[in-house]
Amino acid sequence: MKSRDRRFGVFVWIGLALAPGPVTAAPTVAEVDDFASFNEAAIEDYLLPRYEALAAAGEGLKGVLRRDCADGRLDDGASGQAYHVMMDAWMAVQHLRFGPSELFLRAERMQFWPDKRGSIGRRLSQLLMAADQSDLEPRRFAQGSVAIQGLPALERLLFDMPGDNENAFACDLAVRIGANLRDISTALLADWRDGPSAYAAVMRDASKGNAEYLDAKEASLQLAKSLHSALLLIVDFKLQRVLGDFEEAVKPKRAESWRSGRSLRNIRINLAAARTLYQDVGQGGFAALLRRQPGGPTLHVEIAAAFRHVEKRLASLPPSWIEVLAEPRGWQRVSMIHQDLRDLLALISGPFSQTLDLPLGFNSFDGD
Amino acid sequence: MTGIDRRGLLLAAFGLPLVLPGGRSAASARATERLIVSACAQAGGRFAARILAADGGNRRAVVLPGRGHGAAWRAVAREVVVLARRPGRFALVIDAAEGVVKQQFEAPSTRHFYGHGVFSRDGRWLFTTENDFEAGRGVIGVYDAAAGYRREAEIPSYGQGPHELALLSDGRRLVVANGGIRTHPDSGRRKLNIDTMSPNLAYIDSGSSALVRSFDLPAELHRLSIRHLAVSKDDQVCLALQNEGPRNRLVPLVGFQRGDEEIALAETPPAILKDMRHYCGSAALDESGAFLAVSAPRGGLVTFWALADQRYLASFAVADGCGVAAAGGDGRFLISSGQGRLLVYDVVNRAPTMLRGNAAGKLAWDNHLLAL
Repeated sequence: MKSRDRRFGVFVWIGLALAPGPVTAAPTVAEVDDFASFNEAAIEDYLLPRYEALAAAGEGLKGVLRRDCADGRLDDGASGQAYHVMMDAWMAVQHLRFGPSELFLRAERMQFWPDKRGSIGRRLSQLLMAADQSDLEPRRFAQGSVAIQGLPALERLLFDMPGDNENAFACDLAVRIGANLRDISTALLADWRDGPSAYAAVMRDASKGNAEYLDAKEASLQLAKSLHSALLLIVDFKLQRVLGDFEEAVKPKRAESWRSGRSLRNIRINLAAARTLYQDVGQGGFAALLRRQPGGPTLHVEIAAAFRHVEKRLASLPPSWIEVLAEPRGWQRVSMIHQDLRDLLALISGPFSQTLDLPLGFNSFDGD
Repeated sequence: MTGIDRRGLLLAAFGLPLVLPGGRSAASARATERLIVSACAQAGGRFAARILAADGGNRRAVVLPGRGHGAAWRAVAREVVVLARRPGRFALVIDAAEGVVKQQFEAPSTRHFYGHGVFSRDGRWLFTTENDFEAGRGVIGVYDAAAGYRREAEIPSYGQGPHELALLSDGRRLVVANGGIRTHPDSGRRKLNIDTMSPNLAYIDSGSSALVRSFDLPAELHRLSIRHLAVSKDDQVCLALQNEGPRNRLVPLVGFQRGDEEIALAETPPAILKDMRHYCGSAALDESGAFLAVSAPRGGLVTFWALADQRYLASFAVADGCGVAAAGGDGRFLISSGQGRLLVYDVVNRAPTMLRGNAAGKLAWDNHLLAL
């Protein structure tokens, strides 16, 4: 062992002599101040307004369902409309999977999806069969199964119970879901906006370093992850799982919100939310930061064109999968959009992430 | 066969020679060159496992049914078992030389893999970390490779979220990194118990399923997830950690533990610790067992440590670098990255060498490298 020890001694010495200073992944090109002001703009122009809209939609939904069910009948007219407004608002924040939405399973309770094991249908029929009012007691309901307390369960009650719209218990359940969604969306907004520990303040405070963020750049990274998540959700969950590898393998009932015929409308809203974060927040969103980096202007042109292109293609399709698949070359058209989105996602997780040194890498993003 | 019978059979199997002559018999060592195995994502988003020559040249690629994670090497049959990333359930048995899938098997429907596994010395039993997600407890699945990977038994992992595991030199005890984090497939990959998480390092007798001993971190570090480990030939356990605690409080991310000693967290230069961004991805020892590599993919660097005095030595910047493995030779490590890079870093000479398999931009190497 002696020789090893000695060699080790030498090695230590070399180590001290040659050890470079702290090594970082890549030169940090964007300035810390840039990230801080981007965060500020995102909070004011993007995050808070979206959660305000969600809370307002939740309030509206609760009221409409209560009025609608006053006669013990659920009607997909006014209530359906209020459901759509709520879904629109949720789709605009679905990708923001951090902070208040991570607490108390709020995101899952709002929308349990994808439901790979058929939990919603199973739980819902148990609940309707039992028709036990004590299941609807607010606290118990909110702390119970996530499968039946959110938007997908309400969607079934409204759009997928043919001939059963006079089921009084179903009506009571819908009213309870409405109130529950209102409570979740109100709490989300409050946690974002109000009080000294509001999450908006936590994000602003990132510059000084706090329990959530090491620095302002890390808060920007959180938003970059949200941009990435929005696209990833569409590519992997909303399209790939439905499209399959060839036309005959299509599975429209795996789509999000297929019962209310709005699967592609969801995607349009998600995509607009991603694009807004990318280029329309404050003084030009992430794109403004990107354009100041070497190689950034070209990359921005490419990303912006990709967004435009895919949004245009999507706009030419009806909002429902069923309708799309009934059209000639419907599957192929969505399949092409899927490919476009994969390319866009690759631009974000690759060059965008590298140029801004906001790691969204395969491994850094992994969490294992 | 009842559970008891199976357990009896398992015990009988373990009751036989505990220490078999090293996994690498003369025959298998001769046959072949060193190979490298890694899961990856290929262009177009397809997941695969690749088998590479030691110089990085691509030998075989096998398409996976989903994203893979780690792999286990069964020397006696020269086969590799690639395991699904959580919450996946597939395992593929691949012939290392031919690159063909010999078999696919799955975790039971009430379990999913965490992506790591290890074989018993004789290559018969595969131990995999799994989630009994309805009960919210970690388990070790025991599969009989000699019987087509039939699941023969299950051992508690004595913690939540078991991740990487290794077999100690006695060929009998398993050491398991219980990350402490509860997840459920219905909530995807979301962490459900950050406030109450309680990681540990558990030594388990694979024959009797009994807990030999487990080691906790100090209570104030209960949000420091013990996720990956590397074990030297003389049972020095090295830990790579992930911190779920407050971001502005830097805590050590590398730990050491041996025998009955408590876990010792490694002193780390604050600047390096900050650059590691609270997150380690993988750990490996070099061939000599004197050096440890721990990757920090969020910080885009790989750190190197001396085992003798558990001291930080150096780091090397690799964006999204995560996979590490012994490259052969003192202080030489293979490193892979999510951006497709593949290189050898020689920590003694502080010298990187790109390998032929360097596929920058073309594919993404997944978290772990396995050097055969």
